[in-house]
Formats: sequence, structure tokens, C-alpha cells
Amino acid sequence: MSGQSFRIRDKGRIDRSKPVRFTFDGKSYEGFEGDTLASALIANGVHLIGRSFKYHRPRGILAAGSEEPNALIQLGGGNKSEPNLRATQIEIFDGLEAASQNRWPNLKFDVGAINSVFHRLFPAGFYYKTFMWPASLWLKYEHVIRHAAGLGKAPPDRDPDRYEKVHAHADVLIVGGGPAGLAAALAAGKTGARVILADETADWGGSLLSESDCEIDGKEPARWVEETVAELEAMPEVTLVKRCTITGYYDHNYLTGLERVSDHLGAAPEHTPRQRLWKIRAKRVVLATGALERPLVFTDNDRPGVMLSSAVRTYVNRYGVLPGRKAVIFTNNDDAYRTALALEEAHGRVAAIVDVRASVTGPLADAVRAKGITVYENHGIVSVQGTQKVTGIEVMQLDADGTGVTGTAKSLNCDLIAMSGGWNPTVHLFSQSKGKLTWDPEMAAFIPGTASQALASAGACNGTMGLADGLKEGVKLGAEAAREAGHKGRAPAAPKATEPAQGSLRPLWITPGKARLGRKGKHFVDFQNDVTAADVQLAAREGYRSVEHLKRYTTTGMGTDQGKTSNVNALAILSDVLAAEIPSVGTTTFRPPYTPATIGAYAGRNVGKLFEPIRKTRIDEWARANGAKFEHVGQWMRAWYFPKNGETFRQAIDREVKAVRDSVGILDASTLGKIDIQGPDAAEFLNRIYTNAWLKLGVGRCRYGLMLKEDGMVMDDGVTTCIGESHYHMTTTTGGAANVLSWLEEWHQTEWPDLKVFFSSVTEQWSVVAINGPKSRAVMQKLCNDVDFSADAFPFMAMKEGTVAGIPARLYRISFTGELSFEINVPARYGLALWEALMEAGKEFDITPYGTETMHVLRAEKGFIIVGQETDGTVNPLDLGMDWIVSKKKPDFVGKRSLERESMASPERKQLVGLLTEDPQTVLPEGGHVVEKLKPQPPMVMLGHVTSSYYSPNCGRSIAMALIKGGHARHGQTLHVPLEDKVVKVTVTEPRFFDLEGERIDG
Amino acid sequence: MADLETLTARTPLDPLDIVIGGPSDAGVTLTEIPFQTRLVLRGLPSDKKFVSTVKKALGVELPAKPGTVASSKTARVLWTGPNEWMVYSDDTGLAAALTKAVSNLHAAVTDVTEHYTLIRLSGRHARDVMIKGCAIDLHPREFGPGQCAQSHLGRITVLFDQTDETPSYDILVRASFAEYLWMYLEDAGLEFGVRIENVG
Repeated sequence: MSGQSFRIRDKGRIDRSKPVRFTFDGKSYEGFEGDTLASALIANGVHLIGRSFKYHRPRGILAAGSEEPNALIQLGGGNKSEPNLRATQIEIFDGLEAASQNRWPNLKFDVGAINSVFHRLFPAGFYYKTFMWPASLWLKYEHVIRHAAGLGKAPPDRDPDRYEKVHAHADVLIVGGGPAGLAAALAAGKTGARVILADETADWGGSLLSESDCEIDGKEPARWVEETVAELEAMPEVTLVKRCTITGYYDHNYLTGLERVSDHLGAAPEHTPRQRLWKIRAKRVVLATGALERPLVFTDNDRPGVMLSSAVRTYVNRYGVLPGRKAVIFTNNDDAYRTALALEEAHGRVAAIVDVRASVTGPLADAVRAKGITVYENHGIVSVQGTQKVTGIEVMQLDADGTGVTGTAKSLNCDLIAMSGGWNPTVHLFSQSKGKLTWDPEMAAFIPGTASQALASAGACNGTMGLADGLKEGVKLGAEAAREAGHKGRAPAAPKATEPAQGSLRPLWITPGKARLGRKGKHFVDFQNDVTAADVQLAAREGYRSVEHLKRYTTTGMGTDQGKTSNVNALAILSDVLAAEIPSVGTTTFRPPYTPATIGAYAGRNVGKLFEPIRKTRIDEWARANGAKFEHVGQWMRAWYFPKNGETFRQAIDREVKAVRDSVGILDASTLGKIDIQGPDAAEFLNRIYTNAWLKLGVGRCRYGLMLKEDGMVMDDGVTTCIGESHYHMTTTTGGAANVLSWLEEWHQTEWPDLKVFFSSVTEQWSVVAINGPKSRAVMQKLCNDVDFSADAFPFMAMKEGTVAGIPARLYRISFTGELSFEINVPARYGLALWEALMEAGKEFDITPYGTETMHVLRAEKGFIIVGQETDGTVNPLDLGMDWIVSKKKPDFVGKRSLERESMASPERKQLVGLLTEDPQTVLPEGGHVVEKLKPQPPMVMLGHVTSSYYSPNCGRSIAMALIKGGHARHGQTLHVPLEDKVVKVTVTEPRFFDLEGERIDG
Repeated sequence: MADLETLTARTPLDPLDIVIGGPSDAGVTLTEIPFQTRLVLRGLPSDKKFVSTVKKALGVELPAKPGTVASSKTARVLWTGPNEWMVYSDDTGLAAALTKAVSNLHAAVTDVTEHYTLIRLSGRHARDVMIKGCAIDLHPREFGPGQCAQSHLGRITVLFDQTDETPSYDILVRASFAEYLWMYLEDAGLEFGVRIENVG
């Protein structure tokens, strides 16, 4: 067992009674509960964690939070494996398996590191410069780039974990559980407001957990956190969500949060999600997201052992580990002096403080000097020794303007460099909310300016860096937010806090090295994407003056960390080259998510059987039990055909199609849209909506209708029946039901509100069974004795009420097959009973159940169109040869004006025709292109396409319909349908193939 | 020939072969209420004759405020639109009676008993189940007994009202979507424990 030799005996919030075993790159280590993977690796003296993206440089741990650009980990194996996780955020558990990324064959010896040797071949914009021409090779280039791109590996198969979503509403949402956030939550919570407090880490307190030199109300900060959280937990309307990153800030104070519910447990308990996506709507938002420390840009500042100064403090105080035994602090501000003191307190050694400021005074500097630590004022680090871990540095004095160095270099041994370049307030969410940023020259950072949503920023994210001021601001803004959300209550007194006072910083965006920039070592700006200060300057010289262009050209800020540590440095360096003010150069756009989010969380439970609702009829279970094959029709699942005894698709369809014409077939037609229409003006309304005449339809009579859009194109069709005085029953296509109802409401509400008529959907009120065929009357007569079924008493296009198999029913004598047919509507609960009774009664006629495919063949034999198959939104009734249904007398109907345009009747339009193949056994593929002048290969002039095509056993040959340019005048012509492997010769005909005289309708 | 009494009426959920039962301390219970009378009532609230006629027939004034519910001994009436209400009742004769009552008025009564089924979600975690898939704020300060809403639940549209403080929600779903909703609610309730109860 490798001991945790860098563990500090008396520091940290880890639970030493709970050792945890984990592996990194196959090697076993021990940490404690409460460790992150990063802190546990540091405890074991492991500092080489990964390889950089482009140059494969050895990389360690830079930060202690979600901004970490370097220490990216592939976690777990198999389908649970997840790439690019930040070691600084991973809480360790027993059995955790972590692996480094972007290295081969292993982390310590990585072949890809050869890129670093040839770094001059990989300047800024390398891909743009190299893979530009010839354009025809782009596909090959892309293949190579894709292989080299990316860091971790995607899991191989489907995600086995459970993800959930939840909608939450709050008076006040507070983002960030540090001092300002906790203070805000307490102030808001005390008013009785509904408060949600979310923090991305596993512990409340934020920066307070990393400090040992401050007090709140005379208490240690951790104690104040504990008491405050306990108070919040006791408030029934306050919801505390840990491990929840607020990832996006959208319009209307709608925010999303990704809660890692059980990632830290290794395996989720049964029925518990791995992660949960929060969809939060808040009346007011208080952002208390803190600030991120900036790296300094100096020679070889990416070596393992170079760490952010505040992160060093976090590792020492929060996790009780020493990131190095002998540190050099490199800084441009006072805050890093706290790190020196914290290291001393934890029995680490501080070799020196290197400060770019000319002269450093104040209590922190005094305290450091009192410990005997040398402070190199007006100095910079000019080189770093050690590649896989820092072993030493050289420092030199800065020249007058800080762009060069003078004097001689002094060497210092160290294994840790704690750097601080100042602080960037975490303005990501503020910026996502469309708030305007402003530049604070004191901090040399962007801070929130004008907000554009109901939000406020408290504490460090607002540029309020002092603890006491942050707490005060939190209390004030928390209480204010609650008040604005409608809750009364005075703001409580802010807690009193003490901490060491700090002076100002000196922004020095590039620390000069011994050689010209870009020579002898690299000044890294973006660690994850390997962008250096030289790259940024080169891009600026090449003319990339816009920060958005700079970003894309150099890839600065385009890694999985989205440039949390690099963007402002890059921007400042660009401004320098352009000799422009930083605020005038601007920032790139902050976009959600704040940190990478699992796609599974966005899918939630919309997976497997809940992926998409499947609508079923009440007869579906019979079809299922009787071996039907199904097809999707919109969200409906409809019986497609009913194969028997190993029949093929074609055999089954041929049998079903013949059975209907020879005897009787039975179809579940329940999915047709149905709309109940009532009111004295119902007939007038129908008259305006349909193309044909509706004013004189008698009670008990049905009529086929065609609906057009305003553009004169066919929208829907169906049969509507007058079922009583001012009472109609409309049917629509299965897929068009919802649209048609909206269409009717829209015309009624916006154009004809004066018409007295109401519409209600009744699609699923009725189970509908259609029986078709010469024997259908006989079947009906067996089951229904209160209706006269003779053709005279019950003619085609009539409706009667009766009792079928004991069930009250509406019988419609309408037909989609051309055969004698009855559509029987019964209350849905009896749909199955009706079906079974019909099957029983039809036995002697060998009644044949059929599905949508046979329905399609039968209607095609008769030349009946299907909206959406023969039409596509560009087909008018004249194209379909259906001018017989367009009234010439009505003053108006929807689409009339468009339909009367001359061009709508142009003989050059695509028109519906029939196609008969030369070989009657050849069935054309639907969608096949029809051409007149055949060429050996495309392109050819296309006349149109095949819309419907089947084998018709009743015709003894294949039949097809097509939309063909000038089709009506082409009857008799021979055309061609070129296919992949052959050309089919076809003859143009009428689009009707069977029972041309319509003699079968009465049975 | 069969008569209605001997015929098997099937509910939209019957094909799922749902097993009644579950842990007694379950966080939520689910119940299908399949054949209650359900009517869509249309009419103009500005039509005093219509309003008074309906009040007499239903025993309660039509709710005028959006998203509210009014109840009488015989009926529960949910506001679903400016000229639209959903009426629930155990009285199987109500459709005919109400139709007759408004027959001379500009009004419409449409029987949608079979168009829908109703799933009752109840229990101490019922709200937690609802908010997994419904964006409406169901906090007791915002939504309580006597209120109804039409919204998405999971991937479908439903009409629901809260019927007590437990809380209980009566969720009206189109019959063809009932299987989806049932499976959705069972799945969403897993972490709290689900008991299936019989109606009555």
C-alpha cells in the first residue's frame, strides 16, 4: 500500500475513519471519504494526471473546482464509462476506476508528445492553414482530424443509468452556497419565501472551507456554515440542493440545473437516478457564484506542480493534503500571500514569493516577512525546471515596463508553484441571462453591469471580494429578492467578519521570459487547448482582431472548460497587440452549459417504452393476440396486416385484398379523427370550410368533403354526417385530426366568430369497425335486427342508429373500398366486444381481418386518394381530377380565391394519373421518378413521381398512381421509371383500375 | 343476442393487466376511474339564460375563473376555456338531461365519457411525481383543491384537478394515451413506492 505521504495530519474535512480505495491508470491508491480524486492523488504524491490536447504535454492539477482544464479523467468502464470528467470534481468512492486520457501507450511515455518537438509546425490556425485545399480532399482530412480530435472516449453502448427531470418553482433561486449565497438564502428564507439554494459541490460553504485566517461572528468559518445550513434546513420552504450545477440561464428567469444525485456513491440505489435535471422557474435570482482565480502567463506555466494559489489553499485546508513540500508563490496580488501562510501553518515550506509588483506592503506582506520568507519584488519566473513535475525555477527582475527582464537569473529549488493572476468574477450565468458586463480596472476583470432579467449578483461574482462585504451584500440582496417576490420582512443584520486586508494588484498579462515569446518554452494561455501567448499574438498579427474570430482561429476557450481560466488572459493579450482597451475588445459569448452535461439527463425518462407515446385503439389487443403486424401512423400503432401460417407479406395482402372483394373483410378504423359539430350555423360553417355544398344535407345523410388551405391546396378529406338538427359528425384523416380541429377553431375564432357553432374532439369516444365486401350486409343482418339493411331503405351515404350485437351503434353506409360497406361506431368500451361479435357472425363467410396495407390496396384499385400520399401540400383538387367536388356556385370557401387563379388549372401542373407497368408482375417502388426521355444515366428530366404502388390481386397485375407533369393529357403514353438496376416501362392511364362503373357499392 | 349487461366493457388500461396491490406505505397510489360520465359543455358565459339553465341542471354555478372547479352533489365542473367546461358525474343520465335542458339555447353538450379515462394519483408523494413531468407550479400556495389545469405531463397533454390536500390529482387523459400515462406514472413513482388501487 502506497501511503498517503502528502496528507497533513491536523487539517482537512475528510473523514479519516473512512478509507476509500480506488485505482488510477490501473494502480491502486487509498484516500478518505470527502476526498476528490484530485486531492486523493495529491495525497499519494501523484501529480502527472493527463496529457494536453495538441502537444501531449504532461499535465497535472491546476485548480480545485469545476474550472480545471488539465486533470481530465475517463471514469469507470464499459457503458458507464464517462470521458473528460474533472478530477477536481470527482468524489471518490470504494472501487472507483479512473484513467488518464489522450496518451499512448501510457501517461509517462506518450508517443504523441512528439508534437511538442515539432510545435512550430502547429501554429495558431494550424487546421485552417493545412487542410484548406484541395477541397475535394476535405473528407479524407476530416477522417484524420476526427481521429486526432477529442480527449476521452465515448462509451460503447447504451447508457444503463436512470436519469430524471424535475420542474421547480421558487420565489428566489440562489446560485452558489458560499458565504454570499448562504447569507442571501438565510435572509430570503426568513421572510417565508420559497427559496432554492443550489451549489455545484458536495459541501456548503464555498471558499470558506478553504480559509483558516478569517472569522464570522467570532466563529471559525466552517462552524458558521454549519449553523447557517442547519437554520436553513429547518425552514420548510427552503430547498437545499448540493452537487447541483446551474448549467443554463434562459429567458424569463428559467434556469436549468444538473444534480449529480448518486455519482459519488459509485452505484445508484434502486430507482434512484444517477443525475437529475432541474428545470427551475424563479421570480428572482441571486447569483452568488464566486470568482475564479486567473493563472499567470509565464514560461512553461503548464508543468505539473504549477497550481492556482487558491487551489493550493483548498487542498491544504479543505482536504488536508500538501500539493508540494517546497513552494514558490508567484503573484501579482496580496491574496497569494495567504497561501504562503497557509502552507507554513501546514508545515510546508515556502522557498520564496515572487511578486511582479514593484513594492509590496501591508499586513499580509508583513506576516509573510515575519516568517522569514523572501519576497522578490518586481520579479518574474523566467523558467521552470522539470517536465513531469516541477523541480525548480529561475527568477529575474522585470524591466521598467514589465515587457522584459534584466539582471541575472536566480535559481530556486521547489516542487510547487502557487500562482495568482488576480480574480475573474464568475459572470457566466449573468452573461447567459443577457446581462451586460463592465470592466473593472481595479480588479482588471469583467463584473456584472446592467442586468436584463430579475436578478442580482452578490459577493465575489459581483466583484465584491472581501468576506465582510460579500456577506453584507448577500443579506441585502437575499432580503430584497424575497421582497420583490412579494414577501415582507426586514433584512437581518449581516454577520460580522474579519480577514486580512489586501492591497491592489498589478495586471501583467505576460511575464517575459529570457527569450523572445514563443522561443525556449511556452507561455500557456489556454491549457486545455494548448493555446499560447505567442499563438494569440500571431493570430492578432494575421488580422484576427475580433475576439470571436480569435477564439475560433486559435481555439482559445473552446475546450470542455470553455476557457474558464483562459479567456480574460487571452483577451488582455489580444488587446495589448491591438493597442486597444480591454472593454472595447469585448468578450466572447458565454453559453450554456456552464460545465459539460450528460445527454442522458436531458433525455430523462423519455427512453425505452416511454420514449414516445404509442396510441392504441380498443381493438389493438385483439390484433396483437391474433398475430397482426403493426405500423406507425403518426403516434398511432395500427394493424398493418394479419399473416397466417407463415405467409409472406405479399401472400397475406393478396389473400386479404381478395377476401374483401369476394366475401367480407373487417378493419379497425377507430383511429380516424372525429369531431362533434353543433350549432345552428354548423351547416354554413361546413359550407365555408369544405369545397362542396353542405347547406342541404339531410339528417341521416353523409357527404364526402375536401378541405383546402388558403393556398388552394388539399389539406384533409373525410366524410361528415348530419346526425341531427344542427348536429354533425365530421371525420378526418388519422394523422390530420388534431390539425383539422385547430383549423376549424382558428377560422371560427378569428374570421367567423359570428357563426353559432361549437366543435369538440370525439375521436376516441367511438370504436369504429368497418366491414367491407359483398357479404357485409349478411353479417350485419345477423347481428342487428332493428335496422332495415335493404339498399333502398339504407342507401349508400346514409347513417342509421341501431343495435349491433346488443350494443347501441351508429351505422354509416360509407365505403373506402368501393364495396358494400358499413362503418359501425359504438361507445369505445364495447369496441372489442363488437369486433369479436362480428368475427363470430362472419365465420360462415370466412370474414377476414385486414389492416392498413390491404385498405390501401383496395382504395387504390378504386383510385381513391390518401391525403399525404397522393398530396403533399402542393396538390390542388384539379390536379387530382377532383373538380367534381369543387362547387362552382358557392360564393366562397377556404381556398377558393387561390384555386381560381389561372395557373392552378394549368395543364403543365403535375396531375394524378395511373401507371401500368409493361410487365404486370413488376411493382414500382413508391417515390420512383417518372421520365419521358430516357438517358443512360442521370440527370434526366423528371416528369413526376410514383405516389402509390401495389400488386392488385383483383386486377391480376400491379397498379400505381403518380403525379406527372401534364398527366391528364398523357393517357396512353409510354413513359419510363429508371431504377437502380433496371428501367421499368409504364403506360399512363386513368387513376382507377377496378370496378370502373361503380357497380359493387350495393353488394 | 347479447345485451349490454352481459357484454364485457373494456377500459383503455385493461390490456395492461394491471395487478391491484402494492406496499401499504407506498408514497403514491394509482387508480383508474374509467366510466364516469364526462361531458364537454359549450356555451357563452355572457348568455344569462344559458348560465342559469346550466346552474339548475348541474346544481352549481359554472366556474367563471380560469382553472377553477365547482362542485355540486351530482357534478364536478372544470373550467377549460372561455366558453368550455368539463363536467364529471356519476349520474349516467346527465348527458341526456343536460342536452335537453340546453336544447333551445346556443350551447352544446358532447358526451366524451369514452374519449377519456381518468387516472387518480394520490399520496404524500403525488406532487413529487407530478412535478417530474409537469411545468405548472403545484406548490400548495399556488395550486390546491378546486383548481384545474391543462398542461403537459410527460410527453402528453392532460387535464387535471386537485381534489384534496393529500394531495390527490384526477388526471383526465385521452383513451389512446392512457397506457403511456399509466406507465409514465408508475415509473415516476418507483422511488416513492406505488400501490395500485381499485376504484370504489
